[in-house]
Amino acid sequence: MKKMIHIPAILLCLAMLTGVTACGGSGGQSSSAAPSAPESSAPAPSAEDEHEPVTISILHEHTAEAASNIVSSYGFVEMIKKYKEEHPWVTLEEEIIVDSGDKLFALAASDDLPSVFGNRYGWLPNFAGNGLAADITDYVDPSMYVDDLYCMTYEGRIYGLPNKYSIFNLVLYNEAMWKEAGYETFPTKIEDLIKANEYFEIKGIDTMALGNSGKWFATSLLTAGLTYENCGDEWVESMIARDGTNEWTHEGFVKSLADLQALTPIFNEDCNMQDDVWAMGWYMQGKAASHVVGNWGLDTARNMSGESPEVWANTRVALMPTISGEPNIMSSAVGGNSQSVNSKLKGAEFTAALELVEQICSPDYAELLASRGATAPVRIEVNFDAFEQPYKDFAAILNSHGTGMNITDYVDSSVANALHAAAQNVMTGASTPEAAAADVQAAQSMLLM
Amino acid sequence: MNDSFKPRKLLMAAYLLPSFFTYLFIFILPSIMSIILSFFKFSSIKAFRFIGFQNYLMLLKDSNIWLALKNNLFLVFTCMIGQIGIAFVLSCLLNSRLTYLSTPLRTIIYFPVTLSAVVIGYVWKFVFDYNYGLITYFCNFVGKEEWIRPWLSDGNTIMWFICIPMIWQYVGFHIVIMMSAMSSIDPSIYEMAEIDGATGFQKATKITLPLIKSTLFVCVWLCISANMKAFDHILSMTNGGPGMSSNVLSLYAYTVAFRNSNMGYGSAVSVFILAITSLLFALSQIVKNAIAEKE
Repeated sequence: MKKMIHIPAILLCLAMLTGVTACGGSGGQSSSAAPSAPESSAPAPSAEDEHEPVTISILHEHTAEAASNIVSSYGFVEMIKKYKEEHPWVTLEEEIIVDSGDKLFALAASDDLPSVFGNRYGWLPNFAGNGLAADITDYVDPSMYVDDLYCMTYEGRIYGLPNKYSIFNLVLYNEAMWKEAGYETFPTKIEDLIKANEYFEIKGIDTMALGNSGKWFATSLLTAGLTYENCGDEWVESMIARDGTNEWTHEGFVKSLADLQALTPIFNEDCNMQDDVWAMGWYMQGKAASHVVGNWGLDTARNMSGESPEVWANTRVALMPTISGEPNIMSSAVGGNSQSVNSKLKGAEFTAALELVEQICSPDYAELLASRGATAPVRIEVNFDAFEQPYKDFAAILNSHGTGMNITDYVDSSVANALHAAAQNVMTGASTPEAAAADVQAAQSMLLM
Repeated sequence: MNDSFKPRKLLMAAYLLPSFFTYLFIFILPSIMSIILSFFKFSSIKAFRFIGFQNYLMLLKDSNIWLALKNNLFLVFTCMIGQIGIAFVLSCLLNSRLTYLSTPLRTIIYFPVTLSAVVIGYVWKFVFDYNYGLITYFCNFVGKEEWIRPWLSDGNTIMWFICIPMIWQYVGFHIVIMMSAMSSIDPSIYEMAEIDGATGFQKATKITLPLIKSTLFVCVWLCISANMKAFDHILSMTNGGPGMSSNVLSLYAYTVAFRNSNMGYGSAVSVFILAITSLLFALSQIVKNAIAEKE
């Protein structure tokens, strides 16, 4: 009798032990041969490899729901479909995880990266520097891309192709409201914007809606452009390159933070509590005369236009004004969702993976996005004449303005986080521009320790 | 002693093994690894470099750490007073024979404890919403529009607004602990006190409080450990903002380790959290011993 009780009990214990020690599924395991040396280029594909049945894997964030709401996700998913149709000999294992950064790093640490994976400029020291991403310099043409593949270049070699091209400092404004305020066109000078705030305040309307709860919006949408104007291209490039010749305590950057602080009254008072989608809703409800947003904002506004057709009908697009009144540069970032190939792949697997990356980041992708009024990092002629006025305005900006790098997308993430905190601190008055700039420099200095 | 009554050691070990392994792999080993990693520069995925105490020297110079520590200590002391104080008062009320429906009331008060901290954070974010929140609605209702503020945007008062949902959520938890301690108090003591003319307040402070003192210290320790590792509420309500004004140590450790890819420094911050929590535990033990000696 005792044994009859003990045996099931022991079996239960063993079952619990097994459950505790069982590992998760590998999901998207890349099939690999012997690991290649980090600095060597991947071997050239041969003709007979092209139709050898292969299995490759990809980890991405583009769910079916995202694809139905976000144009870039739709494009990504369509390119994968196209790739599958044109590559019947390839079995593609997809793993879809929203916000997959942590998973990706965990896979990288355990040498278990999928065949194709997401990458970005700030991750290149990890993935390229540790020989995890394949060097594809000999297979791609940088001139096809708007930034000549700067976003995926590490120590002179190319480690991926970009999939996103974002413009950050656009303003959607209600033309009718601004005409009422006495502005036939959107102000080009920041001081005019601040002056217009006096009119809108009396009307009980926010001059500009901003959703900065995510912290990065104020930096990318506002501070980046101000930094170019106050500090100059060379300073920005030297800070991105981290060549040590300049510091964040530069008077131009301090002035940029001071200018951001001076701009703060024009925003909704709870701008640091609300997110970007809320801010767009605030604008579309007519509670704000304008909304500063990235190019994704046009799709968001169009999606909301059903509830606010009048606001959408009056919406125009401009670039954020400058201090001098001179035309602003487009604060842009390329490659937020770049695709890289696992460096372990060889032969037919490497060919298949590279072709997948090329398809995802191809002119086809760019054409598809352009047909939906969105931008892609591939150089193509953009014509949004078939779209509503906001898209036409955006196309005119794209075709006529210079481009600058959105600084926070190209610096180390610890410095970027310090920039975001500094922007929020000056906006809330918790810090002076000088102290905030010093905090950013302190974060930069910690990198060198 | 009859051998048939003695449990076999092998059998005892077999039953304990699953829990032991769970505790070992989920708590002990990661803690040890965290301490070891804190002496390395581990900012990329694969490259480790031993740097001795450099991470700790950096920690001492990092102003964000001291701000986060200040916020954590604020949380600990405010929530200690709020959670344990309110829980004690409510426990005394619920334990009174004059209180009707104390069991369903206790269930209702305990209900928030079962909810996820992220859900609590988001719900209270709506409560504090500047335009449509409950607080704003109430201010408008009583005609005090001038009181309306962007509650979660003010760095000077943000920590008070973070404490409110945390106190609200965990009062029920401490009530359950205190009421189980109160149930062990002989009711005749209260009866004799009532005969002597003791008021409710006197019974609570002169009888209940001294008799459940050791339980209260357990509540204090639980409060310290929970608030030193507060993370979910802050992440969902403010993400440590505005700026860094509501940042706490665990959120900062997460940001440094996973968003800034500086695992070595993140590990050092985690060890710092452990050290400060241990210090607070030691201080509370000293206070407990001092009170015991006084008696």
